[in-house]
Amino acid sequence: MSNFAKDFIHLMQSAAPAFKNMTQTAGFGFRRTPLELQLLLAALFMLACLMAASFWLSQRNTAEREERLVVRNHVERLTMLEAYVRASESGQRGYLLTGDKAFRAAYDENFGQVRPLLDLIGAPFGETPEAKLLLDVRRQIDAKMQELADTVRVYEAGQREEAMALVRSGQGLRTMTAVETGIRNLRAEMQRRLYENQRTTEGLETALFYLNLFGAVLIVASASSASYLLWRSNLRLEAAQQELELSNDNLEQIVQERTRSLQEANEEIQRFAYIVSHDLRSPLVNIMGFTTELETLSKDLFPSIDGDAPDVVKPDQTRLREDFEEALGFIKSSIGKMDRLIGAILKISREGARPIRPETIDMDQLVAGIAASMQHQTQALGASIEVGPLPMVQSDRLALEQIFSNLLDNALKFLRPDQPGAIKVAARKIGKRVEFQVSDNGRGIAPGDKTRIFELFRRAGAQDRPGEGLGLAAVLTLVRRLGGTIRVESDIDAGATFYITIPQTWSDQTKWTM
Amino acid sequence: MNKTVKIVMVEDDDGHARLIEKNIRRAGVSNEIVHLPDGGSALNFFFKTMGKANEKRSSPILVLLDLNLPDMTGVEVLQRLKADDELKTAPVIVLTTTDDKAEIQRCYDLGCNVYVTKPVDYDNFANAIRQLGLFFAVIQVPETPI
Repeated sequence: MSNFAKDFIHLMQSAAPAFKNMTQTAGFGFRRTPLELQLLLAALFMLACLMAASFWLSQRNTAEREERLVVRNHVERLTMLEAYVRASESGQRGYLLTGDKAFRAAYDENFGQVRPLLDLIGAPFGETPEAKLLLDVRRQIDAKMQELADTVRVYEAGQREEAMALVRSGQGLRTMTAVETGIRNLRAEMQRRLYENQRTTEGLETALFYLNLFGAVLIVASASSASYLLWRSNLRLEAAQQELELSNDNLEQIVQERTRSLQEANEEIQRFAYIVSHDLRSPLVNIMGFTTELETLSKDLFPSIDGDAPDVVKPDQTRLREDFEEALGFIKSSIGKMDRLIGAILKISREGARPIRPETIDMDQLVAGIAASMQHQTQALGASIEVGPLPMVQSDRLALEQIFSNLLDNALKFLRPDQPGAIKVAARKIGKRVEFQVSDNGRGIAPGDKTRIFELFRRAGAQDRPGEGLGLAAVLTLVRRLGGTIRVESDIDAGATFYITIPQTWSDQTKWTM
Repeated sequence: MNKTVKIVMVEDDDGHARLIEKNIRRAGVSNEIVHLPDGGSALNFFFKTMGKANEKRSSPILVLLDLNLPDMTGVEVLQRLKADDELKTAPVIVLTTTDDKAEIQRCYDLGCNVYVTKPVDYDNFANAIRQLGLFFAVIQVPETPI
């Protein structure tokens, strides 16, 4: 029991730091558990002690009871022994007086019972007071039995008078009294022992009673403290939950506010782009108009070579006219370029402002349709467009058409001339989103240009293909409008793969997750 | 074309106004052109200068209207014109840089007769104005509004 307790204490001590660590790492909400845990462990430990003590007490009580039983048996046997000795004496006296064989038989029978019974009593006493008393009893009984046997032997040898004289000598009476005294003493000792035993048992039972009472009190106490702790932690949990709900509400509000301000900012940018591009066009109309007017005027300022005789046209006038026309040419081509750039900004700002109209779209059909519209170009280049199985999506048709048409157009535009072009469109589902892959084996994009290519008016690689640097900028704008993301994996001469991830079902909430 | 028809041009950009006038003249249209630089002066002209009912009747007008005005939008001017019983029959040609479909639709809904986008490409622009000139030649401006 003490070993068990030591082990238990040791276990608790070694476990304590682990519990501390655990509760520390668990953080908020578990911060106060050590106290509760310690209380629980203490209660458990005390209950274990109580149980061990109770078990030990019960064991002792049982042992005492068994001993009492044995002693009682011996007391009974002592009484019987006395009776047998007396009956033997009675038989002997009767026989000596009457010579009747029936007395002799009674004497024999009782005499025979004495010794085995005496042996039975002898066994259980060690170095006790009873053992000494028992030895005394044994001696007295031996003497008595000897006296009885002697008188009967003398009588049966025919010396009846001598036998009677032996009886008359009072030796029989003396030995009988000695036997009775010995037995009484032994019985008294045994009674004393029984009494002591009884006292011990009563003490044990009282101890057990108080122990159990204490255990019950302890159980009630630990149960009520556990309930109290549970109630307290419940309260705390409830408070924490309320706090959490409150902060969740706050968070939602913050998100809504942010979203609103983002929306406003975006709308402002759209409006700004629209106004800028629109108002920039107005002076451009004037510049172009009056430049053309100037061109018309130049025909009057510098008479045509065809119209006049060569000798009339002065050489410096011809040079002037050429310079004039060159300047006008540059002005006009620059105006044209500026007009296209403004148009591009306008187009992208309109795309951004256009409301999304989600509908169920069979992407296989949509992409195959775009590929079919490019068939002429594809055949001329000796390339192929493979459209893998694509899922159905709930999104904006126009935006998706524009995205895939721009990407496929780019793929065709930047194929390598030394190998047949192979373009592939595939898709896979990632949770509630769909990732489309548009891959080609074309000239690829240098690692440093991977973000540049998505910027407005920027282009990468050899500038040997027509284009304004609008396609991918438009793709990026549209993908974001659909609540998606786009990235590219590529290297020089290693082809390019564009990954477009959009929500399978478009909703207002996903609009701003970029 | 009817000599009495006045062309009222509401245009804030002097350059545009000049180019429009040049091309109208090149198309052979010699009607009087009144140039008004903003919405306020346009409304003033329509409802004050032409204020008397008999003048509205006696001098029919054709309106060339820019949508981008400094003080108000051309759409507002258009609305005011179409709300007036006498002036609502006057043909209105909207000339602007906007090619926004929604804007164009709105102008037609409000009763504009022709919508012309001012292109940067001058040849197209000149062409459009000259065709307007032809349009002026065949258009029947009602002498007396109903």
